[in-house]
Amino acid sequence: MSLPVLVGVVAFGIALVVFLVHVTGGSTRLVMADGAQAEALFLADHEDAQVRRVMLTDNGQEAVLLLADGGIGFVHSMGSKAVALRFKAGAGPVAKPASDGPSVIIAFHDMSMPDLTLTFADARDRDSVAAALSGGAAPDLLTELEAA
Amino acid sequence: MDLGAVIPNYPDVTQVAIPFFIIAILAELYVLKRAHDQRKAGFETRDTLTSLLMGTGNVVAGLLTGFVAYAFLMWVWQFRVYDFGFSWWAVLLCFVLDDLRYYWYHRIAHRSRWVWAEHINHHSSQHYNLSTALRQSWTGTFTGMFVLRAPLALIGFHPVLLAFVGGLNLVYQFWIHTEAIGKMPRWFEAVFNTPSHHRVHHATNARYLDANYAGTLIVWDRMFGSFVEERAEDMPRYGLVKNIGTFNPIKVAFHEWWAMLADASRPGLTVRQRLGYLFMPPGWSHDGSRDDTARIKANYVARHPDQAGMPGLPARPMVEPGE
Repeated sequence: MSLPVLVGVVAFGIALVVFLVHVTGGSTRLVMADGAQAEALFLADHEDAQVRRVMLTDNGQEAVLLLADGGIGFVHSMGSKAVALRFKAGAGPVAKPASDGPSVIIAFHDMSMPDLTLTFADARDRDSVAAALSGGAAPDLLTELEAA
Repeated sequence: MDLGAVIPNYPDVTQVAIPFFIIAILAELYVLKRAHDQRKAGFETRDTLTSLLMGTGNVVAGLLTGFVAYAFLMWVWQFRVYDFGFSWWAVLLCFVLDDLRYYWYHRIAHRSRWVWAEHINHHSSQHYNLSTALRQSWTGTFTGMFVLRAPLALIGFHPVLLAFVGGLNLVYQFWIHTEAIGKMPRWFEAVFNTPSHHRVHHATNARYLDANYAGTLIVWDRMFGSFVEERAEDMPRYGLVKNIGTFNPIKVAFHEWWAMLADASRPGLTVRQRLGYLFMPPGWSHDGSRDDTARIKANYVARHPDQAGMPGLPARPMVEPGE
């Protein structure tokens, strides 16, 4: 097979396959309905984790989980699947408030994970995430733990 | 002597197979869509595009760097102790021995981070379909694992023949990347690598980690103790122990190289620890803060004692040093 023919066959083949996957519903992105779904997705990969609290973003594509051992969990919608990451206490990614809205920007410093901008409907969730990722525990989680 | 008259003009089988690959992927898409089985990972648009671009990049990388391995093997070939030639039985024997070479290459690729850094991208999809088969490495030559073919050249298989049977092996492995086929007949499952055996290899379930390294013949796994049967009650979940959050082919190809080099160049480590990050199994860390597959399996058994000693799992949970 000559090079021009090979290039043509490969380009046409990729375009055809990707187009047909798309028109048959392959571009549907996972949207988590609630915290329970986010927790289930997280536990599928981290069976031993004890989840204390789940904070789901506005669009349902990300969730942050506070764990009983002080660690942090993330569930990130990745196409029709989810990426579930777990960080030990104090070893999580860096977060900073967004400059133009009620959001938190999270930098993973990992080539395989994009920086995420998380927007929460509940300002307490946003503050809890920012606090947890800056090294402190979420204020209302501390209260909860003390009560327990 | 006219070498052209002696050495067969073998085709590049992976290039010849490209139209077949496309037709087969479309057929699999059709079958999976008709089945409406939500338990199967199916196709995802960007994931499929990434896999196909990785496959294209693999062909380009082969064109750009393949001469390194070929030149090395031609150099080794001059020291051969015998010449098997190109008869049909020489091709068959070469295929079987090269399949054994592939088994050990593949096992090393999962057990040493240096080679895992190039192989990880093949496992980076959470889907398992025929496009996943084409999600191939761009940096294979860089690991130097082509030296594993040297013994075959030394005993008398020409590098052209080694390239040909290596291509045949990769083409064989294409069709086993599917959930559209359940089990093959028992005799076939006993001898050959199949979709069922290879689903196990791509799974992240604790019992399935580091299992079924075979290329074409599953008998190597049975011989060397790495075979694990697929179990209906533990459906494979595909991808990586720590999945990636990107469809960018450049990042897919290089993220583990980057992470590995970042680990090895951390300040304050000894030379031995730096080498550990380069060559020890994935998940190894100098301070034991990460989980390798042995610990993942042991932790699983600790949570599920009834599973202790089952294929792919240790007989008892790991005892940490000092306990």
